[in-house]
Amino acid sequence: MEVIRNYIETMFLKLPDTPEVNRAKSELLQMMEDKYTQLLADGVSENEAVGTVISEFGNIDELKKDLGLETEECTIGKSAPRHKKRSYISIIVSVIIILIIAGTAYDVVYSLVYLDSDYTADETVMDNCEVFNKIYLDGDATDIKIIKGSSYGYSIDNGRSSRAAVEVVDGCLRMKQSVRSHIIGLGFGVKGSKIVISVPADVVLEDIDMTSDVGNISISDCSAAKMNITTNVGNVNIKDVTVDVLEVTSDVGNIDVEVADLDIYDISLSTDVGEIKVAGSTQKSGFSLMATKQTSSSSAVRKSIKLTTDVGKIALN
Amino acid sequence: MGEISSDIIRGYNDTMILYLLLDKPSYGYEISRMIKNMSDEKYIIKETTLYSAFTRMEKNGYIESFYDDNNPTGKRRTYYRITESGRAYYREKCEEWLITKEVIEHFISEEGDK
Repeated sequence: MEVIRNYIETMFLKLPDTPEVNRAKSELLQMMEDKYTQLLADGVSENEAVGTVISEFGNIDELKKDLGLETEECTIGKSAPRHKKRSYISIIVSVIIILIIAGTAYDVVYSLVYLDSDYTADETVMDNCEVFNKIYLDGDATDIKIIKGSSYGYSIDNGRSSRAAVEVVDGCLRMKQSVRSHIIGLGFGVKGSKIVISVPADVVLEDIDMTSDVGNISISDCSAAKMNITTNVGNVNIKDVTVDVLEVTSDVGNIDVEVADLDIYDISLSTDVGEIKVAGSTQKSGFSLMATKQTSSSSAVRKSIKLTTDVGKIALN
Repeated sequence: MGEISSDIIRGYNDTMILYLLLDKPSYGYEISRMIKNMSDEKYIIKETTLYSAFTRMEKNGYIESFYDDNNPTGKRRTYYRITESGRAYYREKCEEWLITKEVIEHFISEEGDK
């Protein structure tokens, strides 16, 4: 029940404190509590009940007009900002579910609300760095991109309250990004940071290992023997890559992977809540498939792709 | 296939809610549960949609809200009851639906069964 209460608190975080808004909040909470209680009485597990209640909640934007927060004209005229709001909300929802799954500190909610999704990497000025063949990255709240570039390099935009440590040691690019959480608690426009790493074309990295609490991760046009990506909240997008062993684990977020030739991989995909699509067709969770064209008779490692998310969609093409 | 279009049904959420209030007052969760049951679980109304309909219809004078303090569970729930103008609006919506249905029916055919 605590989770549902936190969820409602978060959904109303950005709405003003008016009698109408407060009434809506308590009425919605009442309806959700009733539904939750009934589900438990029906023998549904607590987690499942929370999932159902949250998934059937709807969209807070729908209420704004009735609560006197938005006129109809505004709603029609502002399609772009609405889209943005929706992306905030999807992030907020994600965080709440994370609270269920990981029991993470409530503070994280605040850091998420302000994560900026409009970031484009391509205009970023990169700092060149030493040659590396491994990337180890540990992030608190950051968007991460790995792209093809003309040289080895990276750029870090720390936002307002995060810091990152970077070093290249023994051919390994190490980054640690963290958020100063005390500032987050105050709730003013904190932004997560953005990290872009560029790898020259034709380089095959040995290993990419990334762990991120919050933020989207994207890897494009890049080759590595091994990629291992773990995220609590965020979407993972991997495109035009050559990889032998790919493993992505996410608590909340969509996973989207495109590889050149699917047939050469052993595949294993699972999600608790969400849809799985392989080459466009829907599959059940727990989908697994042995490679039909495994080329590794000579090499010791079988090529494989393993994607796991608790809440989110998986697409593999 | 078989999914309900929220665009179409949006215009008739009010009708469903008012129907459920015709005989006796009710509250949010009970209404949402009855909509789910009566539609054979084909339509699950979102909480925000339901609450938005309540506030809109209350503003328009179709329903009134009141607290039920005698609830045995001790929870102070908001109940809604239909007003006379709500009943009139409900009848209008029923007529509107019958005409809509009649018109659309003419254009519905099993494929190849023309």
